[in-house]
Parts: sequence; C-alpha cells; structure tokens
Amino acid sequence: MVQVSRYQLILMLIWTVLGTGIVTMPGTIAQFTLRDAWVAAFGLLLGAVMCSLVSLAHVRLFPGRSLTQAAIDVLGPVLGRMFGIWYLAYGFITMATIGREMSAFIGISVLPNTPDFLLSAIAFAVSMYLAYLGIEVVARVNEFIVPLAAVVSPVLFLLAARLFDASPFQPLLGDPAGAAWHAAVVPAFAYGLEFSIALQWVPALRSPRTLPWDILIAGAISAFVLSALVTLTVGVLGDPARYLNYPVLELVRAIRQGKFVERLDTLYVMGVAITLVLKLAALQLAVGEAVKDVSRSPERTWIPIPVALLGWSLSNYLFRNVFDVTNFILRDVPGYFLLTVVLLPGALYALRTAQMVRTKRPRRLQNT
Amino acid sequence: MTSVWAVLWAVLAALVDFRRWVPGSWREWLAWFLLTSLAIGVAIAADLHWWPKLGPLHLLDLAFSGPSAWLYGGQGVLQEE
Repeated sequence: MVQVSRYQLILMLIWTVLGTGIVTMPGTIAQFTLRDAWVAAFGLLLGAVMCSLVSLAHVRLFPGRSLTQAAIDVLGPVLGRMFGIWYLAYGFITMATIGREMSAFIGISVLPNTPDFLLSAIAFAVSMYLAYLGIEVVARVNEFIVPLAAVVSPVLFLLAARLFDASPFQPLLGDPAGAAWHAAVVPAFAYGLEFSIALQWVPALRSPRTLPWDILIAGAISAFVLSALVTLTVGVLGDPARYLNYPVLELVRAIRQGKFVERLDTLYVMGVAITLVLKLAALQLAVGEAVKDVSRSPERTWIPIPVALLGWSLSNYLFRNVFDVTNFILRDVPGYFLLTVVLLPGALYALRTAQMVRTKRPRRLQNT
Repeated sequence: MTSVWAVLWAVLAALVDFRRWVPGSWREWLAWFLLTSLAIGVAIAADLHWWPKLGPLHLLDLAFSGPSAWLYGGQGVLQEE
C-alpha cells in the first residue's frame, strides 16, 4: 500500500503551485499593480482556504476515496463518469497549459534554437516516467530537491536584494483596493485552486483527515514565498516589471557580484525546469487516477503513456504562443477552475449530505 | 548468436518492464485507444496548422470569460489587457 506522509504532501503541493507560479504570477500581478503587488500575492491564500474547505468536506464524506471515485459513488456510474470526463478535460487542459508555459519559458530563456515541441516532449517524457513509478517516487523526488532549493533560492534572493529599491512601493498601499484585488484574482483562482489536485491523491495519503490543514500550511508557505519574490522583483526592476513576461528571470539576470559571478539565470532556469517537471508529474498522477476510475481499471501502469501523449499534443495545439497562455490564464482560468474544483465538488458533497439525511430519516421513523 | 539490439532491448525491458505499460482488459484497451488516437489527431491538426474558428479555447473563452470578469469585479478590467 503506497502511502505519502504529510511532509511529502505539503512539499508536493508547494511545488505544484509554485512550479509555474514563480514563472507566471509575478508578471500577471505586476500587470495590475506595483505598489500593492506584495499584498496581491497573498491572494494565493484565498484559493488555499477554498480548497481546504472542499477537502474538509471530502475527507469527512468520502474517507479514502478520490474525487472521481466520490463522483461515481454519489451520481452513479453514468453521471459519475461524465463528471470524471469533465475532470479529465480540466486535467488535460491544465497539463497543456503547464507544458506550453514550460516549453516557451525554456525556449525563450536558454534554448532559443530548439523547437518548443521538442522541449515539451522531453519534459512530458520525464514526467511520464515519474508518474509511471508512482506517487511515492514523485513525493520522494519532491523531498530530494528541497535542499537544492533551500540553498540556491536564498542565495539568489540575497544577491538580488542588494539592488532593491523601495520607491516603487511608495506610498505604501497607494493603489486603489480594486487594483490589488484584480492582481490577486490569478493567484487566488488560477493557482490557489490547484491545491485541490490533492483530492485525487487521497487514497495514497497516510493521514487523509489532516489534508485540509496540510493544504492551509502549503498555501501559507507558498503565499509567503510568492510575496517575497514579487516584492523583490518589483523592488529591483521597478516599473519595467509591468511589461515583462518573465520578470523573475530578469531579476536573476540583473545579479552581478564582482567580476566573475553573473548570469546566474542558468541556475534559476534549471530549478524552474525541475519544479515544472514535478508539477507535470503530479498532475499526471491526478489525471491517471481519473482515467483509472472512468475506465474501471484496477491497474494504473498502462495509463501514463496515453495521458502524457495527449497532454503533450494539446500543449502544442491549444497555445500557439506565450500570449495565448497568458490570455487564457487571465481571462478564463479563474472562472473555469472555480466551477470545476470548488462549485462542482461542493454540489457533490451537498448531494451526498442530502442522500445521507434521506437514508437516516426512514430508519428513525422505523425505530419510532 | 544474440544480436546487439536484442541485448540492448533486454536491458531496457528489464529496467522498465514494458509489459506493464500494456493495457490488460478490453476496457483498458478502449480507453488507451481513445486517448492515443485523440493525441495523434491533435498532433496532426497542430502539424497541419488546422485551427478551426471555434476551437476548444474559444469555447472555454465563451463559457468562462464572463464568470472570470465577474470575479475581477467588472468587464472592463479584462478588456484592457
């Protein structure tokens, strides 16, 4: 029986959200506000709280069951599988978005002459093999990169902090509250709601009942890291942060120490590539669980190849360039994710509660 | 005499155990076939630059740009982008 510890789960959730979060979120936040950017990053917490509430209902009503299994339990085999297919569509579209973000980022930053589809093919192949090895291996790889991140990230932060200028934040909270909210929508509803992916991992968790707390802890850590990163980015780059696709990359490129320490962006790109592959693997695990439930299969080892293949094809087909990806995240993802991972599961839990109440009533009547 | 390719294949198969990648039941084969054929179809469409006017992203945009704009607090915010 595969079991993932709480520590591993929290790490998996952090890397899942920050994997693309550190690439995309500072740019999308800076488009709306600079002065309040550090506050907007805490929008991630809002998404974490929503996912935590959803998971609280899930682990109480469906202990040890994944979201797609719960849907089949509540709605029956036909409607439940239709929900499963909806969830699969959500999983594949999210996977395609991440794959395209990754290929575009690596193509622009370090491999400009390599075709994007080749870069994403390598990433999908690696993540497919991770998903094939199972959730425990993915969790261990997440643990493995923590020391690297714990050493490299603070060094990059501290080196960049020398260039920090507080003037872009003055006056403090000077932008209208509406601007901060607009900037917080993407962290809250596009990235914060990705914590709900853990509902698909419930059968593999060592202590599923603590899932709501674990999501909150992961959300708080991710929000703090993101806020620090956004603050540093805006403080170092200033107003140009508004117009950059990858402001954090430019932040790292700006680091120069003496004559020899420069171009540390290679380190940053390597770190981002690792976290993005882990994010893809985590998502493939969740989608694989859904495929397993929808196809009524007892095995999951045959699933990674077709899942990775479709994810890769879609990433090349759906998004022709970075603009398409950013536009999709800004315009559609907040509403799409809110419906798929909060409102629909919420409706499922309400239905389950109603079913439980209905089955309890006749028993009480019989007893009287 | 065993060929080099056979040896390499045996090493690779022992490392990964390809038999486990293959679906077992007809349901698994059906799901595998559906996902794989969809993937190949999408890859061909991308290669031929065949993007219909009402593609999947347009449909998602039609369905969810309104609710997303509501989350932002108004239509104008997204139109400025």
